[in-house]
Amino acid sequence: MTNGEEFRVYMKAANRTSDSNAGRHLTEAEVIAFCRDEMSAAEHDAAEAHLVSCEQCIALFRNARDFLEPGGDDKQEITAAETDEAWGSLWQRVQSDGAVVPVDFQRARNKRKLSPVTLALAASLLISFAALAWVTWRLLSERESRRQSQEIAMQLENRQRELEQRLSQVEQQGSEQLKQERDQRLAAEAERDRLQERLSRQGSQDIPIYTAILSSIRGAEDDVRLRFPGATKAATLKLLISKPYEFPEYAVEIVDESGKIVSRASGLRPTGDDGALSFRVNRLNAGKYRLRLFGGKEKKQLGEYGVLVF
Amino acid sequence: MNAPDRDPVAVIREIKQGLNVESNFHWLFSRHHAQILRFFRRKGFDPEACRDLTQDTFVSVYKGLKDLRQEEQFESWLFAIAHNVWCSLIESRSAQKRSAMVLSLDGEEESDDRLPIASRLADQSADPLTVALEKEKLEKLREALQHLPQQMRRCAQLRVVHDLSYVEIAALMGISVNTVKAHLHQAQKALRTQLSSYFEEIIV
Repeated sequence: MTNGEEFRVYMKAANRTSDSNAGRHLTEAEVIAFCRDEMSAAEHDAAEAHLVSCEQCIALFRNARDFLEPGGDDKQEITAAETDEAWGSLWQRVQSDGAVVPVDFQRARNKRKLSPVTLALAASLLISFAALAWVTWRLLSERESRRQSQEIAMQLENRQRELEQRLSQVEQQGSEQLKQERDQRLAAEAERDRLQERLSRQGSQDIPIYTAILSSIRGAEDDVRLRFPGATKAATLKLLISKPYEFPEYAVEIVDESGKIVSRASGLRPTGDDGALSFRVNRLNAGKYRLRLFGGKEKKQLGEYGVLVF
Repeated sequence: MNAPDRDPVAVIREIKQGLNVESNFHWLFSRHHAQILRFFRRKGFDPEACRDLTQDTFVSVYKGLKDLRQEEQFESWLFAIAHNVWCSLIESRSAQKRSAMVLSLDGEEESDDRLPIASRLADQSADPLTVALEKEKLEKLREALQHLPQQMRRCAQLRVVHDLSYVEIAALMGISVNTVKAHLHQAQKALRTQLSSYFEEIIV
C-alpha cells in the first residue's frame, strides 16, 4: 500500500464511522430532483450530507447525471434510422413474447373483440333481467300500496270510533250543563224577586208619600203639608193639578223663606189616570217654604203654593 | 430522433387504457431512446451491449407501465428502471468475477493490509500496538476533518473517498469547478499541517 493509498483508506474509514452517514438512502426520484435542483434548501442540504457519506447513493447520483445530461462527452450521433431499427427490434420482441403484453392491454383488446352473437346474448340476458326486475318491483309496489291502504282504513275507523265517543261525552256534558244553568237562572230570578219585594217593602215603609191638590194658580199658605218622621231622609210628593196634560212636562222648585232653592225637580211627566206629578223631596227642616210649578221646556210658571214642613 | 410534441402524461394514460398502444409506445420510445442509449454508453459498455441494455430497459417499461401510479413521475421511473438494469448487469458480472477468483486464487488468503481499517480495529486477534496506533491515526484524521469548514470537508470527502471528478463535485455541491479546486487545495494544506506526523503523504 502506497502512502497516498493509506491516507485514502483512513479517509474511507473516517467517513464510514462519522455521524454524517446517518439517514436513509435516496430514491431515484429524489436523486433526479437533487440533480435538477428541485428540492428545498433543507432537503438539498440533507441529501448532500447523505451523499458525501454514502457510496451507494453516490453511484446513483453519478448514474442520474449520466441519465440527465443530454449529450455530455458522447460524440457519437444517434440517428433516426438507428432509433427506428431499435424500435422494430423491440416491438418484435414484445409481440413475440406473449407474457410481455400487460394484462390490462389484453383485457382492453379482448373487450373490443366481442362477437355479435355474444353481444346479442348479453343484450337478451340484460333485457330478461331488466324485465324480471321490473315485474318484481311492480309486485312489491302493489303489495306495499295494499298494506298502506289497509293501514289507512284501520286508522280512519279508529278515528271515527274515537270521535263518536267524544261526541257522546260532549252531549252528556252539554245536557248536564244546560240543566245546571237553568237551575242557576231560576235560583237567580227567585233571589231577584225576593230582593225586589224586600226593596219595595222597605221603600213603602221608609219613604212617605204625600198627595197635594193644586187647584188654583196662587195657592194657600198650607197647600202642601210635609212631615219627615224619625230618620226618614226623603218623601215622595204627588201633585194633582187641574190640567195635567196641558204641557208634556213640568218642573218644580221649592224655595225657603229667604228665596233660596232647597229642592228642585224637572222633566216631570203626568202619570196615571189623575195625571199626578210625582217627585222625590229630600228631608227639609221644619218651617215654611214656597213651591213653584213650571210648565213646558220654556218653564212657564203656572203657580206658586205654600209648603209647611212640620 | 425527435418525437412530435405531445403530453407524455396523456400518452401514458392512453397506453394504460389500451388505446393506440403501439403508436403511443412508439412515441415514448422515440422520445427516450437516445437518452437511454447514451446512458449505457457512458457506462463504458460496447455498442451491442448498449443496444441490448436499452431494449431490456424498454421491455421493462412496457411490462411495468400499467402499474405506474404517477404518470408525471415517468422520467424518474424510467431512470430507476435503467439504473436497475445497469445494477443487475454489474452484479452478475461481479458474481462471475468472484467465482473466477475463488478458482484461480485457491488457498491464498487476503493480505491483512487490505482489510478496511474499521474492520481491523474491531478484530480482537490483531496486534494491540498496531490497533492502538491505527486508532490514534483515525481519531486525529477525524479531528482534523472536523476542523475544516463544512463545504471544504465535503469536497475533500467526495474527492478522496468517492473519487469524484471536479466537475461531479461541483455539480453535486452546486458550486463552480474553481471553487472546488480552491477548497481541495486549502483542505490538503490544512490536513498536511495537522497530520504530517501521522501520514507521510496526504493527497486530496
